[in-house]
Amino acid sequence: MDNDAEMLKRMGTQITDLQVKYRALPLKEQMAVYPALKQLVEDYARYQAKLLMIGVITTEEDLKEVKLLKKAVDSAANQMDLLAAIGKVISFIVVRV
Amino acid sequence: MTHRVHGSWLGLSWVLLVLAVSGCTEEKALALQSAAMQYRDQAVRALALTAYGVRASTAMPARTPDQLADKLKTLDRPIDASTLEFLLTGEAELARAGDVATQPLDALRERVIAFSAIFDNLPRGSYLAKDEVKRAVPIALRMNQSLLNVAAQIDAGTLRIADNPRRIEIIEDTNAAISMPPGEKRDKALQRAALDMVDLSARERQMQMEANANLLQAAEIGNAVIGLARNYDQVALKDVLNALNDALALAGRISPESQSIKRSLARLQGATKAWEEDPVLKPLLAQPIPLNP
Repeated sequence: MDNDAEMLKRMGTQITDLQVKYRALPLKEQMAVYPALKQLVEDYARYQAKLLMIGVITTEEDLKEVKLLKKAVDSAANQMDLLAAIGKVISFIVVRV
Repeated sequence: MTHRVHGSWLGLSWVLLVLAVSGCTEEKALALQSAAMQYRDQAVRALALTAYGVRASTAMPARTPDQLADKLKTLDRPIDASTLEFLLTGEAELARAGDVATQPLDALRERVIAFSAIFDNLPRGSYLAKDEVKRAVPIALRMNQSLLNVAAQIDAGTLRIADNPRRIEIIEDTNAAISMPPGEKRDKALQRAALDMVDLSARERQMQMEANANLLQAAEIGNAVIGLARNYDQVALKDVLNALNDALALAGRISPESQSIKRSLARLQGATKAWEEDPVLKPLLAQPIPLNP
Protein backbone atom coordinates (compact mmCIF):
# COMPACT_ATOMS: atom_id res chain seq x y z
CA MET A 1 0.00 0.00 0.00
CA ASP A 2 1.50 3.36 -0.99
CA ASN A 3 1.60 6.54 1.10
CA ASP A 4 -1.55 8.00 -0.39
CA ALA A 5 -3.56 4.85 0.28
CA GLU A 6 -2.21 4.57 3.84
CA MET A 7 -2.92 8.24 4.45
CA LEU A 8 -6.47 8.02 3.14
CA LYS A 9 -7.22 4.95 5.23
CA ARG A 10 -5.85 6.51 8.42
CA MET A 11 -7.75 9.76 7.91
CA GLY A 12 -10.90 7.79 7.08
CA THR A 13 -10.69 5.77 10.30
CA GLN A 14 -10.08 8.97 12.29
CA ILE A 15 -13.25 10.46 10.84
CA THR A 16 -15.16 7.29 11.77
CA ASP A 17 -13.85 7.54 15.35
CA LEU A 18 -14.86 11.20 15.57
CA GLN A 19 -18.32 10.39 14.17
CA VAL A 20 -18.79 7.67 16.83
CA LYS A 21 -17.86 10.16 19.56
CA TYR A 22 -20.15 12.80 18.00
CA ARG A 23 -23.11 10.40 18.00
CA ALA A 24 -22.57 9.71 21.71
CA LEU A 25 -22.82 13.40 22.70
CA PRO A 26 -26.01 14.94 24.18
CA LEU A 27 -28.09 16.82 21.59
CA LYS A 28 -27.01 20.27 22.74
CA GLU A 29 -23.33 19.36 22.42
CA GLN A 30 -23.93 17.65 19.07
CA MET A 31 -25.28 20.93 17.74
CA ALA A 32 -22.16 22.72 18.94
CA VAL A 33 -19.80 20.21 17.30
CA TYR A 34 -21.84 19.74 14.09
CA PRO A 35 -20.37 22.64 11.99
CA ALA A 36 -16.81 21.46 12.64
CA LEU A 37 -17.65 17.85 11.79
CA LYS A 38 -19.35 18.95 8.56
CA GLN A 39 -16.30 21.00 7.65
CA LEU A 40 -14.06 18.01 8.35
CA VAL A 41 -16.06 15.70 6.04
CA GLU A 42 -15.99 18.38 3.29
CA ASP A 43 -12.23 18.82 3.58
CA TYR A 44 -11.61 15.07 3.58
CA ALA A 45 -13.82 14.74 0.48
CA ARG A 46 -11.79 17.49 -1.21
CA TYR A 47 -8.61 15.60 -0.35
CA GLN A 48 -10.05 12.41 -1.90
CA ALA A 49 -11.07 14.36 -5.01
CA LYS A 50 -7.58 15.85 -5.30
CA LEU A 51 -5.98 12.41 -5.03
CA LEU A 52 -8.31 11.22 -7.74
CA MET A 53 -7.35 14.19 -9.92
CA ILE A 54 -3.62 14.41 -9.65
CA GLY A 55 -2.31 11.14 -8.27
CA VAL A 56 0.43 10.90 -5.66
CA ILE A 57 0.51 13.89 -3.33
CA THR A 58 1.43 12.36 0.04
CA THR A 59 4.91 12.20 1.60
CA GLU A 60 6.41 10.15 4.44
CA GLU A 61 6.25 13.28 6.64
CA ASP A 62 2.52 13.55 6.03
CA LEU A 63 2.09 10.00 7.22
CA LYS A 64 4.07 10.64 10.39
CA GLU A 65 1.94 13.67 11.12
CA VAL A 66 -1.28 11.78 10.55
CA LYS A 67 -0.16 9.15 13.05
CA LEU A 68 0.26 11.92 15.65
CA LEU A 69 -3.19 13.22 14.83
CA LYS A 70 -4.59 9.74 15.39
CA LYS A 71 -3.40 9.96 19.00
CA ALA A 72 -5.19 13.28 19.47
CA VAL A 73 -8.38 11.80 18.09
CA ASP A 74 -8.14 8.72 20.29
CA SER A 75 -7.74 10.80 23.43
CA ALA A 76 -10.69 13.10 22.70
CA ALA A 77 -12.97 12.40 25.63
CA ASN A 78 -15.38 15.34 25.80
CA GLN A 79 -16.93 18.07 23.66
CA MET A 80 -13.99 20.48 23.96
CA ASP A 81 -11.44 17.75 23.26
CA LEU A 82 -13.53 16.56 20.33
CA LEU A 83 -13.71 20.08 18.86
CA ALA A 84 -9.96 20.48 19.31
CA ALA A 85 -9.29 17.12 17.65
CA ILE A 86 -11.56 17.94 14.68
CA GLY A 87 -9.80 21.31 14.40
CA LYS A 88 -6.41 19.61 14.23
CA VAL A 89 -7.50 17.19 11.50
CA ILE A 90 -9.09 20.04 9.50
CA SER A 91 -5.87 22.11 9.78
CA PHE A 92 -3.93 19.11 8.53
CA ILE A 93 -6.19 18.54 5.53
CA VAL A 94 -6.79 22.14 4.39
CA VAL A 95 -3.14 22.81 3.57
CA ARG A 96 -3.22 19.77 1.27
CA VAL A 97 -6.33 20.53 -0.79
CA MET B 1 -24.50 -6.88 -11.42
CA THR B 2 -22.73 -9.26 -13.78
CA HIS B 3 -26.11 -10.71 -14.77
CA ARG B 4 -27.42 -7.23 -15.58
CA VAL B 5 -24.40 -6.57 -17.78
CA HIS B 6 -24.90 -9.86 -19.59
CA GLY B 7 -28.58 -9.09 -20.03
CA SER B 8 -27.92 -5.80 -21.79
CA TRP B 9 -25.28 -7.42 -24.00
CA LEU B 10 -27.82 -9.96 -25.16
CA GLY B 11 -29.78 -7.06 -26.60
CA LEU B 12 -26.73 -5.68 -28.35
CA SER B 13 -25.86 -9.13 -29.71
CA TRP B 14 -29.30 -9.28 -31.33
CA VAL B 15 -28.69 -5.90 -32.98
CA LEU B 16 -25.33 -7.13 -34.24
CA LEU B 17 -26.93 -10.27 -35.69
CA VAL B 18 -29.47 -8.19 -37.61
CA LEU B 19 -26.70 -5.95 -38.91
CA ALA B 20 -24.60 -8.91 -39.98
CA VAL B 21 -27.25 -10.19 -42.34
CA SER B 22 -27.88 -6.79 -43.94
CA GLY B 23 -24.53 -5.04 -44.12
CA CYS B 24 -23.55 -1.76 -45.81
CA THR B 25 -21.99 1.54 -44.78
CA GLU B 26 -25.06 2.70 -42.90
CA GLU B 27 -25.12 -0.57 -40.96
CA LYS B 28 -21.45 -0.12 -40.15
CA ALA B 29 -22.28 3.30 -38.73
CA LEU B 30 -25.13 1.76 -36.75
CA ALA B 31 -22.78 -0.86 -35.34
CA LEU B 32 -20.35 1.82 -34.16
CA GLN B 33 -23.23 3.83 -32.72
CA SER B 34 -24.44 0.75 -30.81
CA ALA B 35 -20.94 0.16 -29.48
CA ALA B 36 -20.69 3.79 -28.31
CA MET B 37 -24.05 3.53 -26.56
CA GLN B 38 -23.02 0.28 -24.91
CA TYR B 39 -19.81 1.96 -23.79
CA ARG B 40 -21.78 4.88 -22.34
CA ASP B 41 -24.26 2.68 -20.47
CA GLN B 42 -21.58 0.46 -18.97
CA ALA B 43 -19.34 3.41 -18.00
CA VAL B 44 -22.25 5.30 -16.40
CA ARG B 45 -23.19 2.18 -14.43
CA ALA B 46 -19.59 1.64 -13.31
CA LEU B 47 -19.06 5.27 -12.28
CA ALA B 48 -22.34 5.29 -10.33
CA LEU B 49 -21.27 2.18 -8.42
CA THR B 50 -17.89 3.74 -7.70
CA ALA B 51 -19.38 7.07 -6.58
CA TYR B 52 -21.81 5.24 -4.27
CA GLY B 53 -18.89 3.45 -2.59
CA VAL B 54 -16.88 6.65 -2.20
CA ARG B 55 -19.82 8.55 -0.66
CA ALA B 56 -20.50 5.61 1.69
CA SER B 57 -16.94 5.90 3.01
CA THR B 58 -17.85 9.07 4.99
CA ALA B 59 -21.60 8.56 5.51
CA MET B 60 -23.15 8.04 8.95
CA PRO B 61 -26.06 5.76 9.95
CA ALA B 62 -29.51 7.35 9.75
CA ARG B 63 -30.88 8.21 13.19
CA THR B 64 -33.72 5.93 14.29
CA PRO B 65 -36.79 7.34 16.12
CA ASP B 66 -35.60 5.60 19.32
CA GLN B 67 -32.16 7.22 19.03
CA LEU B 68 -33.83 10.58 18.42
CA ALA B 69 -35.99 10.12 21.52
CA ASP B 70 -32.85 9.32 23.55
CA LYS B 71 -31.25 12.55 22.34
CA LEU B 72 -34.36 14.58 23.19
CA LYS B 73 -34.20 13.20 26.74
CA THR B 74 -30.78 14.90 27.11
CA LEU B 75 -32.28 18.37 26.52
CA ASP B 76 -32.46 20.53 29.63
CA ARG B 77 -34.46 23.32 27.97
CA PRO B 78 -37.53 23.68 25.70
CA ILE B 79 -36.89 22.84 22.02
CA ASP B 80 -36.57 25.87 19.71
CA ALA B 81 -36.68 26.39 15.92
CA SER B 82 -32.94 26.05 15.39
CA THR B 83 -32.87 22.73 17.26
CA LEU B 84 -35.77 21.45 15.16
CA GLU B 85 -34.02 22.63 11.99
CA PHE B 86 -30.90 20.76 13.07
CA LEU B 87 -32.90 17.60 13.68
CA LEU B 88 -34.76 17.91 10.36
CA THR B 89 -31.86 18.72 8.02
CA GLY B 90 -28.59 18.17 9.86
CA GLU B 91 -28.09 14.54 8.85
CA ALA B 92 -28.84 15.14 5.16
CA GLU B 93 -26.44 18.11 5.03
CA LEU B 94 -23.74 16.08 6.73
CA ALA B 95 -24.21 13.33 4.14
CA ARG B 96 -23.95 15.86 1.29
CA ALA B 97 -20.70 17.24 2.73
CA GLY B 98 -18.87 14.25 1.25
CA ASP B 99 -20.25 14.72 -2.27
CA VAL B 100 -17.28 16.77 -3.44
CA ALA B 101 -15.17 13.58 -3.39
CA THR B 102 -17.04 12.22 -6.38
CA GLN B 103 -16.87 15.37 -8.54
CA PRO B 104 -14.09 13.96 -10.79
CA LEU B 105 -16.23 10.84 -11.32
CA ASP B 106 -19.30 12.97 -12.07
CA ALA B 107 -17.27 14.97 -14.62
CA LEU B 108 -16.05 11.78 -16.27
CA ARG B 109 -19.62 10.48 -16.49
CA GLU B 110 -20.70 13.68 -18.24
CA ARG B 111 -17.83 13.30 -20.73
CA VAL B 112 -18.79 9.71 -21.51
CA ILE B 113 -22.40 10.74 -22.13
CA ALA B 114 -21.26 13.60 -24.36
CA PHE B 115 -18.92 11.26 -26.24
CA SER B 116 -21.68 8.79 -26.97
CA ALA B 117 -23.83 11.61 -28.34
CA ILE B 118 -21.20 12.23 -31.05
CA PHE B 119 -22.49 9.11 -32.78
CA ASP B 120 -26.23 9.84 -32.43
CA ASN B 121 -26.64 10.87 -36.07
CA LEU B 122 -23.78 8.90 -37.57
CA PRO B 123 -25.90 6.38 -39.51
CA ARG B 124 -27.52 9.26 -41.48
CA GLY B 125 -24.15 10.72 -42.42
CA SER B 126 -22.59 7.26 -42.76
CA TYR B 127 -19.40 7.26 -44.79
CA LEU B 128 -19.20 11.06 -45.08
CA ALA B 129 -18.53 11.34 -41.33
CA LYS B 130 -15.42 9.17 -41.36
CA ASP B 131 -13.11 12.09 -40.54
CA GLU B 132 -15.27 13.08 -37.56
CA VAL B 133 -15.20 9.49 -36.34
CA LYS B 134 -11.42 9.49 -36.39
CA ARG B 135 -11.29 12.81 -34.54
CA ALA B 136 -13.29 11.19 -31.72
CA VAL B 137 -10.49 8.69 -31.09
CA PRO B 138 -8.33 10.89 -28.80
CA ILE B 139 -11.40 11.67 -26.67
CA ALA B 140 -12.23 7.98 -26.36
CA LEU B 141 -8.64 7.15 -25.53
CA ARG B 142 -8.46 9.76 -22.75
CA MET B 143 -11.78 8.61 -21.31
CA ASN B 144 -10.68 5.01 -21.35
CA GLN B 145 -7.38 5.96 -19.70
CA SER B 146 -9.42 7.75 -17.01
CA LEU B 147 -11.62 4.70 -16.40
CA LEU B 148 -8.52 2.54 -16.06
CA ASN B 149 -6.96 5.05 -13.65
CA VAL B 150 -10.06 4.97 -11.46
CA ALA B 151 -9.93 1.15 -11.48
CA ALA B 152 -6.21 1.22 -10.66
CA GLN B 153 -6.85 3.64 -7.77
CA ILE B 154 -9.52 1.41 -6.28
CA ASP B 155 -7.08 -1.49 -6.53
CA ALA B 156 -4.29 0.57 -4.92
CA GLY B 157 -6.53 2.00 -2.17
CA THR B 158 -6.11 5.66 -3.19
CA LEU B 159 -9.82 5.72 -3.97
CA ARG B 160 -11.47 4.65 -0.74
CA ILE B 161 -14.66 2.58 -0.90
CA ALA B 162 -16.07 1.61 2.51
CA ASP B 163 -19.42 1.08 4.26
CA ASN B 164 -18.88 3.71 6.96
CA PRO B 165 -22.44 3.67 8.39
CA ARG B 166 -22.06 -0.06 9.08
CA ARG B 167 -18.59 0.50 10.56
CA ILE B 168 -20.05 3.04 12.99
CA GLU B 169 -22.89 0.70 13.99
CA ILE B 170 -20.46 -2.17 14.58
CA ILE B 171 -18.16 -0.01 16.74
CA GLU B 172 -21.16 1.15 18.81
CA ASP B 173 -22.60 -2.36 19.17
CA THR B 174 -19.23 -3.87 20.04
CA ASN B 175 -18.47 -1.20 22.63
CA ALA B 176 -21.93 -1.72 24.15
CA ALA B 177 -21.22 -5.47 24.36
CA ILE B 178 -17.77 -4.93 25.88
CA SER B 179 -19.27 -2.75 28.64
CA MET B 180 -21.76 -5.48 29.67
CA PRO B 181 -21.10 -7.48 32.84
CA PRO B 182 -19.46 -10.89 32.16
CA GLY B 183 -21.98 -13.59 31.30
CA GLU B 184 -23.91 -15.31 28.52
CA LYS B 185 -25.59 -12.13 27.28
CA ARG B 186 -22.23 -10.41 26.85
CA ASP B 187 -20.70 -13.45 25.12
CA LYS B 188 -23.60 -13.63 22.66
CA ALA B 189 -23.40 -9.91 21.91
CA LEU B 190 -19.67 -10.17 21.25
CA GLN B 191 -20.19 -13.22 19.04
CA ARG B 192 -22.76 -11.28 17.02
CA ALA B 193 -20.33 -8.38 16.73
CA ALA B 194 -17.64 -10.74 15.43
CA LEU B 195 -20.03 -12.10 12.79
CA ASP B 196 -20.98 -8.55 11.79
CA MET B 197 -17.29 -7.71 11.31
CA VAL B 198 -16.75 -10.73 9.04
CA ASP B 199 -19.85 -9.77 7.03
CA LEU B 200 -18.70 -6.16 6.75
CA SER B 201 -15.26 -7.21 5.51
CA ALA B 202 -16.88 -9.33 2.76
CA ARG B 203 -19.36 -6.57 1.89
CA GLU B 204 -16.70 -3.87 1.51
CA ARG B 205 -14.54 -6.20 -0.59
CA GLN B 206 -17.55 -6.90 -2.79
CA MET B 207 -18.30 -3.17 -3.19
CA GLN B 208 -14.71 -2.56 -4.34
CA MET B 209 -14.63 -5.56 -6.69
CA GLU B 210 -18.02 -4.82 -8.27
CA ALA B 211 -17.05 -1.21 -8.98
CA ASN B 212 -13.69 -2.29 -10.36
CA ALA B 213 -15.04 -5.08 -12.57
CA ASN B 214 -17.68 -2.75 -14.02
CA LEU B 215 -15.08 -0.06 -14.76
CA LEU B 216 -12.91 -2.61 -16.55
CA GLN B 217 -15.87 -3.97 -18.52
CA ALA B 218 -16.57 -0.41 -19.69
CA ALA B 219 -12.89 0.06 -20.59
CA GLU B 220 -12.96 -3.19 -22.57
CA ILE B 221 -15.85 -1.94 -24.69
CA GLY B 222 -14.12 1.46 -24.92
CA ASN B 223 -11.02 -0.24 -26.25
CA ALA B 224 -13.09 -1.79 -29.03
CA VAL B 225 -14.71 1.57 -29.81
CA ILE B 226 -11.25 3.13 -30.15
CA GLY B 227 -10.16 0.39 -32.59
CA LEU B 228 -13.37 0.67 -34.61
CA ALA B 229 -13.15 4.46 -34.85
CA ARG B 230 -9.48 4.28 -35.83
CA ASN B 231 -10.20 1.87 -38.69
CA TYR B 232 -13.68 3.10 -39.55
CA ASP B 233 -12.97 3.99 -43.19
CA GLN B 234 -11.00 0.81 -43.89
CA VAL B 235 -12.89 -2.10 -42.37
CA ALA B 236 -15.92 -4.04 -43.56
CA LEU B 237 -19.09 -4.46 -41.52
CA LYS B 238 -18.07 -8.04 -40.78
CA ASP B 239 -14.81 -6.82 -39.16
CA VAL B 240 -16.71 -4.28 -37.04
CA LEU B 241 -19.10 -6.95 -35.79
CA ASN B 242 -16.29 -9.41 -35.09
CA ALA B 243 -14.35 -6.79 -33.12
CA LEU B 244 -17.45 -5.94 -31.09
CA ASN B 245 -18.23 -9.57 -30.37
CA ASP B 246 -14.64 -10.13 -29.25
CA ALA B 247 -14.82 -7.12 -26.92
CA LEU B 248 -18.12 -8.27 -25.44
CA ALA B 249 -16.74 -11.76 -24.88
CA LEU B 250 -13.64 -10.36 -23.15
CA ALA B 251 -15.70 -7.97 -21.02
CA GLY B 252 -18.00 -10.84 -20.03
CA ARG B 253 -15.02 -12.73 -18.67
CA ILE B 254 -14.04 -9.90 -16.28
CA SER B 255 -15.41 -10.97 -12.90
CA PRO B 256 -15.39 -9.24 -9.50
CA GLU B 257 -12.41 -11.26 -8.25
CA SER B 258 -8.94 -10.04 -7.43
CA GLN B 259 -7.02 -12.10 -10.01
CA SER B 260 -9.46 -11.38 -12.83
CA ILE B 261 -9.30 -7.66 -12.07
CA LYS B 262 -5.50 -7.53 -11.91
CA ARG B 263 -5.15 -9.47 -15.19
CA SER B 264 -7.72 -7.35 -17.01
CA LEU B 265 -6.29 -4.10 -15.69
CA ALA B 266 -2.79 -5.00 -16.88
CA ARG B 267 -4.06 -6.15 -20.29
CA LEU B 268 -6.14 -3.01 -20.85
CA GLN B 269 -3.37 -0.70 -19.67
CA GLY B 270 -1.13 -2.45 -22.24
CA ALA B 271 -3.75 -1.94 -24.95
CA THR B 272 -4.00 1.77 -24.09
CA LYS B 273 -0.21 2.12 -24.24
CA ALA B 274 -0.23 0.47 -27.67
CA TRP B 275 -2.83 2.98 -28.93
CA GLU B 276 -0.64 5.83 -27.69
CA GLU B 277 2.23 4.48 -29.81
CA ASP B 278 0.04 3.76 -32.83
CA PRO B 279 1.48 5.60 -35.89
CA VAL B 280 -2.01 6.45 -37.21
CA LEU B 281 -3.27 7.79 -33.87
CA LYS B 282 -0.13 9.57 -32.72
CA PRO B 283 -0.75 12.70 -34.84
CA LEU B 284 -4.33 12.82 -33.52
CA LEU B 285 -3.20 12.70 -29.91
CA ALA B 286 -2.04 16.30 -29.89
CA GLN B 287 -2.78 16.74 -26.19
CA PRO B 288 -0.98 14.67 -23.52
CA ILE B 289 -3.00 11.89 -21.91
CA PRO B 290 -3.86 12.92 -18.33
CA LEU B 291 -2.92 10.42 -15.64
CA ASN B 292 -6.21 10.91 -13.84
CA PRO B 293 -9.80 11.75 -14.75
